[in-house]
Amino acid sequence: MTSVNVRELIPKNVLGSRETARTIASDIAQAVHESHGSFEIDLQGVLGFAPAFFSEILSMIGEASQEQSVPLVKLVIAHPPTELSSKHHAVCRPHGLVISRERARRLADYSDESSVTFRLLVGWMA
Amino acid sequence: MVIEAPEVFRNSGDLRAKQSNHDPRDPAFSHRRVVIDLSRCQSVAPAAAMWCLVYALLVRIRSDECGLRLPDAIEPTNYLRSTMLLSILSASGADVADRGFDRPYDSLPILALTKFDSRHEVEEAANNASEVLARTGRVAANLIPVVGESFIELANNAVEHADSRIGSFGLIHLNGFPSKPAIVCAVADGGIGIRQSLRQNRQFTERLPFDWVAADLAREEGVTGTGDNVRGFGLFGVAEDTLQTGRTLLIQSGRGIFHMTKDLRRAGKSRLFPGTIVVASIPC
Repeated sequence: MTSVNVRELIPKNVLGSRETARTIASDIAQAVHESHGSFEIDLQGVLGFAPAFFSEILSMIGEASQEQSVPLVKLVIAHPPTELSSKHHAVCRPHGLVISRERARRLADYSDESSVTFRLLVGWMA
Repeated sequence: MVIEAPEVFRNSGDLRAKQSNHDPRDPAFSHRRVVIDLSRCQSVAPAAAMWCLVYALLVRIRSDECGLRLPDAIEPTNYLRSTMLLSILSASGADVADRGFDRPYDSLPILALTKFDSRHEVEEAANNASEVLARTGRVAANLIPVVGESFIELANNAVEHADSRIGSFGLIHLNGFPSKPAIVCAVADGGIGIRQSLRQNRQFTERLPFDWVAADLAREEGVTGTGDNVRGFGLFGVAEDTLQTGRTLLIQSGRGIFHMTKDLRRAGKSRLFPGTIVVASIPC
């Protein structure tokens, strides 16, 4: 799965604005191009991502996906700094997306268990 | 005009209407000298400190005189000094008689009163605050993202929608230490207020007869003055984060006030806040 490590591209702990999200637009577009529809946003090391930032990331993925005719099959938010909450659901809704917490797997399934917190899955609304 | 604050000064709702409802944003404001008298105060909450800041700066920007009489009690004076309120007001030309006493107090500044005019400045302030918060070692790791995200959303709202002549200000404190520690995250401006901002969206023009209705509506999902359907999640997200035991949210805008806890939502008429202030309190 193609992955974009946000902390490597934006060296900030808290990501708050749409403008900040836009600074990695070309990286997102490139990753979508290589993704074959399966795509991961890795927030490892990020201490906070505000709804405005998250919403803009979804907009950019949607735009890149449309421009390149690469249908989004699976989007994963890895290492989110906060638990899934109603604000994440609210951000996804107007983009036509739903978000859920990935079902827990057995610890043995993780090759690098220490680095795994939980993942959020984003998909199209039915 | 002298505005006398009470012994326990939580927010502008505690002031007398006759004194505090004169709006310094109003071109008809006719008081050439305003004194904010805190001498009786035994405690001053962050929302009250930020009211002092916004009111005094709005008076000063009119080139009118403004004085701040500090509390006779040392504790609240020390708190006000720790927020940098006294130095900001002094720099604006307000008359502040700081006696300079210093003594330990139960509040730890994470982000002293900081002015911001752009989203870039907001993000920088939030990043600094998160680092300071982490360094204190007194806050659970899972609360740091909540504070950072809440601050950013509140501050971005102020920068984008307030249209404030004095800019917007943020403050993050670790209060009540060590007995009942709580992180208090506050953002205030001297702008047009929530009702005026939301009325820019035709959808809400007819639905907002009072400031307290606007303050209540603003924390709902997707409510924005921009009319953009992928916006309007900032205050909603902060309010949703409040739905945990012990957390509180206070919104004051114009003459409206809105209180929220896990079990309570109460909107009503209050004394004037000449702009908007939002205060989120998170026990830690």
